[in-house]
Amino acid sequence: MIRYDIIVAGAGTAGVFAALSAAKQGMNVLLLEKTTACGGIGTNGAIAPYYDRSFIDLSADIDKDVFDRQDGSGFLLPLKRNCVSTELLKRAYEQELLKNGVEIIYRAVVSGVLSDGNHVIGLRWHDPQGNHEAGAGVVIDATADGTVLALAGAEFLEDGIRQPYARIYSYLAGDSLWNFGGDAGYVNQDDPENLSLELLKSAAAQVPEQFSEVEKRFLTAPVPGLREGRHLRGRETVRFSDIVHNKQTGNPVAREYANFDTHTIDLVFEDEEFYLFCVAALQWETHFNITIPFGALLPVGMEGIIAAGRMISADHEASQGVRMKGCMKHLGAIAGAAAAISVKKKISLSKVSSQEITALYPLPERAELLKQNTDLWLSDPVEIKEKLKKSNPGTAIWSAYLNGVTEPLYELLDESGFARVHGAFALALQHDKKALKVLRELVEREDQTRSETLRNEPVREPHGAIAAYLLGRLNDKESFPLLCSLFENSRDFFFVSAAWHSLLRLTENNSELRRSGYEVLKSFAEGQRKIPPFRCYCGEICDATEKMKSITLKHLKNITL
Amino acid sequence: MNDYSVLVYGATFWGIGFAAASSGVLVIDPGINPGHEFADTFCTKICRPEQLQTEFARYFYSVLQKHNAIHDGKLHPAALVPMLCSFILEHKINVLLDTILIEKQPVCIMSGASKRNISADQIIDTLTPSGTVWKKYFNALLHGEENAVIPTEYLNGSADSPTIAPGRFSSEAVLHFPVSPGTGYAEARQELEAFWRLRPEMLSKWKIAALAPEFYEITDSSQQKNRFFSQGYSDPLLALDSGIMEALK
Ligand SMILES: Cc1cc2nc3c(=O)[nH]c(=O)nc-3n(C[C@H](O)[C@H](O)[C@H](O)COP(=O)(O)OP(=O)(O)OC[C@H]3O[C@@H](n4cnc5c(N)ncnc54)[C@H](O)[C@@H]3O)c2cc1C
Repeated sequence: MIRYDIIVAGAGTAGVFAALSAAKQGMNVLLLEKTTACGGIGTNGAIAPYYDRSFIDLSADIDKDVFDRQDGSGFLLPLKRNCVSTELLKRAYEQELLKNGVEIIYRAVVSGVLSDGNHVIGLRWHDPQGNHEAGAGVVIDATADGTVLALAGAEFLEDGIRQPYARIYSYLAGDSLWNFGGDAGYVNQDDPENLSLELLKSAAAQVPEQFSEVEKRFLTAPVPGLREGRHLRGRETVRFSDIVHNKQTGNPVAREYANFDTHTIDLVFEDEEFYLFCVAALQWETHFNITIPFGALLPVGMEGIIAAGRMISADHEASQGVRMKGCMKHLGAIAGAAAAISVKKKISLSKVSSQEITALYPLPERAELLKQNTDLWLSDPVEIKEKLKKSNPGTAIWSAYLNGVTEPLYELLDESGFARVHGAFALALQHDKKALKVLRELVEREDQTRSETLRNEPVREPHGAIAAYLLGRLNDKESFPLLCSLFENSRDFFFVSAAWHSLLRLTENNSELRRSGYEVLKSFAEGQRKIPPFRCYCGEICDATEKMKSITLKHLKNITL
Repeated sequence: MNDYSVLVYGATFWGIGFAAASSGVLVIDPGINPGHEFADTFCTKICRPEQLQTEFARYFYSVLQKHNAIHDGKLHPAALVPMLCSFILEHKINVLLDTILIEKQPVCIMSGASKRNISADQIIDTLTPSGTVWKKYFNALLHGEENAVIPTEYLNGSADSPTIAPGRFSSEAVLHFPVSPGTGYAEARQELEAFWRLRPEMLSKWKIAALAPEFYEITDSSQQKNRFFSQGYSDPLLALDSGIMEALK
């Protein structure tokens, strides 16, 4: 059997740099890719922009080389002129890999793992010539979905909800090339039938009345635009709660700088703290440093295999921030370096020191914007109170919550406008019932005012809708009739979904409301009523009726009358 | 259900045609785009409806026409994937995308990390040519700036040199770039980029919008030998028609 020092599965965003970084350490590397080109979502998926930038020189140098020559290349260039042509990148990656001695096999789908007990020692794959296998000192799973880890029997974090996916196609935008990456709904790619059906439905939904030369279509991407899949259960895990409570610890090997870029159709479907943070505390757009410890790449209970890419150990909420191309390339380079150190020193991956890795690939700095997340939060109650009076209170609501600031905010409840509303939100986050009066008022008049995020964008959810959600958090039984009426009669999606969420909670938590709540919810779940449509994050019109019905039915099953 | 009369390898036009006119068929494909053998090679050829023998194929032709994807005997290749997906759903064809055939006996298929054994009385492979490949092309989809015309020497060139075929829209064309049958994707990309870098001035109004994710292969002409190989047909509708005819036999 042929043996390589390192086999990388998946030549995508992370995989290319895993292979390159290992090869640069003198390793004999095999790179297996199921499509016919390198680069993954960033090339085959035609996603040209960086969220932030490339964090490693290995990638920045390739980008610069392509960027410098793309003007006269005769290739149609991306709409955003600071982006690199995704078609030219395919060849540039390949050239660099081949120059460094990496062996690339295209149309090779990993089909099995060779192991010795809990130690991965090689891979099987299938290509048009048949089935093959080879041994390896270390295997790097860069398949995005953790396919190799799953084949090896690795553990994954609880299977929760995932982000909606996109069926990407490229098209002519003005005189440039761009991609359409609009959300196509939810999919579970671990279920082959579901994945196929959704891929067919999403492409069929893209048939226009008339194909036309304006916005002329080029190509439906040969890879699915999956934003999220399995998350490895790693030796360490990146958690949303740690990030927003300043509890990130350990020796990081990488750092993402992003917001929690959620594409969920509505945040009421997400974890409560995530909703509170993104919506009630207006933090959807705020960018954070998210540090990634080396252990997030290492599966528990397994040796000889390391993860690189969006499947690393991060919970669903955190992963919405830890998936951008710049960071994924960095993670690839780190996995490649760690694998090389492990092979050279004949030590297990878990014994590789993070200092040795960061010496090769230092943590990216964002000094000009934000050195520490703690710089974002305010601690002075007076400052918090002043900021709460603005239409864009910045991080004041969350800062009040983090620091337990309540009493100084009571005065705000007697004021008008933003001061009153933001004061109530900050108190409601802390379960302070003094907020109830203001919240009820906002719901009663279906208040449509919207606050602004840190970057001065109005949030999608109006004050009245956020208040309806918070009444559920405060278990305000008195609001039950008000919420029922809002749920049944409002024509605004955000009011309906927030009232629905609170009704579910009130019904579950209060025996005296159980029967009437049950009836309202049951009549919705079994009835014909449609929830008002709304515009989701990518700008498309969504209908959440079926999703809300199926969640309602699940809740009803757990209610004993 | 894991018992099928036929397992069709390739959600190709031939394979989908066959499945549309049969029952108990499962179609699997390693990729995610049905009809990729023509769509992802930027096929602009389309036959005349009179050449089609089946109702299904004529229907597909009429839908392409209705959505403005055909004009004057030329096809807009980007229309193929969404339109074929729509056809598959409409005809309730059993398709598993992103799925490979890893063993033929017993039949074992694999999607992502899940493997399963199925039973099938017959396997029809529509992806692999049974004859030898005697011509292979690495195509590129071109976008023409205002008033771009295809120079005659490229319109009517020989099959062994690069040629350009017009697409359905005046700004759409496809570069057919011949490579030798043993060429891999990395070499093909290198050769095409080198050619394009040094292209003559008369092509300066044409830009490459996309490189083909798949080779276009022409096999020896014995149709009998290659009758399942979808790309062996000169256009997608003839392949669809032939798949349907095979099922009706
Ligand atoms: C629609 C969309 C828009 C986005 N927009 C942006 C943006 O604007 N900016 C930004 O920074 N980020 C963006 N992202 C996020 C980012 O692009 C991805 O999260 C990131 O590229 C994932 O990197 P990866 O290496 O984990 O996966 P990928 O790049 O998907 O690479 C995985 C590779 O593994 C291969 N593979 C899979 N299974 C196998 C197998 N069994 N055998 C062999 N090979 C296999 C695949 O073919 C692929 O090449 C976007 C993502 C999506 C989906």
